[in-house]
Amino acid sequence: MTAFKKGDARAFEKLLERHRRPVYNFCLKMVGNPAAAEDAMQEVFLRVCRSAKDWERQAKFTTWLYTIARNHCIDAIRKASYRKTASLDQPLKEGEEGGSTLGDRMADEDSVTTDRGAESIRLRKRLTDAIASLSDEQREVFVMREQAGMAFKEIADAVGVPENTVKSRMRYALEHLRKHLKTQGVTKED
Amino acid sequence: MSRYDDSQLVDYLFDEMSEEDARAFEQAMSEDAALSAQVEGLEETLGVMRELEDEEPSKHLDALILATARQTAEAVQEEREASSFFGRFRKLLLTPAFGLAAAASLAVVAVVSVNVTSFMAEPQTTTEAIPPGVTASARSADAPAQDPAPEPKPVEEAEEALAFGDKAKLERDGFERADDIDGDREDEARRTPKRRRARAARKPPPPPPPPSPSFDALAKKSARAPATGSASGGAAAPDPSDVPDLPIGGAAGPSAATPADEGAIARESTRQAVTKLDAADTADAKRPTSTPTPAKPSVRSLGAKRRFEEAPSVDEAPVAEAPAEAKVASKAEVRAQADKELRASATLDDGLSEAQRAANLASAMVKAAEQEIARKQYDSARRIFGRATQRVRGTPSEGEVLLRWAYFERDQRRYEVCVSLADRASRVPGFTRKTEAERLVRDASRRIEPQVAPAAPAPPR
Repeated sequence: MTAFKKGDARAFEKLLERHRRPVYNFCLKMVGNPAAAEDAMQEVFLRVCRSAKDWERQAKFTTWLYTIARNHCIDAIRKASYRKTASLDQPLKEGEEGGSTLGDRMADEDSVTTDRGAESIRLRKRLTDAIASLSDEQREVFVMREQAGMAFKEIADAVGVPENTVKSRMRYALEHLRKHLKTQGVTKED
Repeated sequence: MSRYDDSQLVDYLFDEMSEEDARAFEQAMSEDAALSAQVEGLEETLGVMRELEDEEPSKHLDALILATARQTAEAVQEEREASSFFGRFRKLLLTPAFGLAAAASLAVVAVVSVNVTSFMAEPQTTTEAIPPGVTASARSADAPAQDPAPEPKPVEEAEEALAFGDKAKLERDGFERADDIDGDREDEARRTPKRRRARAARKPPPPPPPPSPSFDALAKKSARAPATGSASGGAAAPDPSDVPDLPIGGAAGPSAATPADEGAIARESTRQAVTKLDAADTADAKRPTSTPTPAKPSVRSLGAKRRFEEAPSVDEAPVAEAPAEAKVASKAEVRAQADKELRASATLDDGLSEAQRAANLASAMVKAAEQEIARKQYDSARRIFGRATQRVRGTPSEGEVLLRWAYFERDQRRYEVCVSLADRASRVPGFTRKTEAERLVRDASRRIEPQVAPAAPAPPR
């Protein structure tokens, strides 16, 4: 980042190569929609580009990066909540948790997958749904810790709450996930 | 669980507890079955959630980000250069005001020099009193009392000797080589005796300058004038830098010819000089960057022209016929306003094959389009994509452009357009990423299906 601040465009290429995948997955877990996650990832890196001059060497780059990502994802979630559009991940029938979604309906029937692959896709779907079922506060703490690998202190700084509050949210998040997965019948053996 | 709060439980789960505390916590778990079950349940949940593998984002997202990064980096570099001393100095040099000031200074210096020269030449030559046809040597012979001291060998006289082909005279006068005459002013000052220079320094200041003609006009005038006075214009090239250093008068040389012969030779010399000038004018007119008038271009226009020629050429044809000043301005505007599509032309090398050239062009234009996308100038990006498609039509690069365009339209939620473009890309002969294009067609088609089906809600646009 220091090199990029001095005008080295190649340094940014390296940064992007290193962080694009984790940031994308961070955004994916935060917003729960691949297209929105791609938009978010793009916007995050564009913001990093534009705000490079504001970055201080004292700050850990990943903390700064994921703070930007978290802020953008929260904005995106808020905006999405105002839009009354259908999501590919939304259940087709109201109140039908875990039922088929618009995305499932649109799945290409020609693309035949093996049972194992299908099982893997189903498991992924359930885990993603489980994360999506967390409250915004719990989800951001969980994702920042598990996806971004941030320390609880860093999360507390990014979120703006005491560290103990962050840990408390994490504990409730884990409890919620455990219950959710239990209702979905997901166990470690899956 | 009563002794342990959420913070400690989470610290234990995420291995952020000290060893001592962890041992105490495990001891408590062994004594408290409920606590132990809770911890195990949360550990299992954490383990399951960690099974979720990361997904790979689309590669096409990088292009836009990198284009923006490059722009930012360039801006930073420009800023750094501008803030440095040399950068600021260079910036100052590039300002039109500096150019105008430099040109004006040169003009003033030139006018003053011309007038000094003419003033210095007047007392000795007395052009008005001497009838045409009388040579410098004859005049000097007629009026020896004007300067009784033996005249040293002035440059002008040497030029005259050279014009007459008298190398022996040159050698006698102390010039080592005949071509020394064309040396710079320092050489000339070195060759001119000190006494003469001292005398020139004692001369009164020149009268106010008359309206100044151009250098070439002055040179032509002196060349075409009858062979009077010093006859310096006879053989001298029309170089303005020579004008201020015209020597005074001319002493009779040892090889003096008769007045009639001298007149004929001087006329011949003048004729040759005029021919040379005309040839120079013709050569100037034939030069592609020359102006219609043979006026010498200003320092500023020369500097700007050089900078432009050193810069990557964007589109030479439309600006080549413009007048010099207007051309510089329009070129600068073109370079400032032209998008990266035009820069693509600079990257083309004549040595490349058609396919390579098309690939370079396509790559550059796609980058330009991505920069427009970064600036949210989507219509402009579409225009660039369209032009790029036309310019590389029939080559595999057309597929590259179409595919990138298709991704862009997909990002814009214009799935129908995306399908159309990706489909076109998949049918471009020789395009290597046809499979990817077909996959994009399928992917985008799926997204537009709900719009067709009345029961399904419309996808987000």
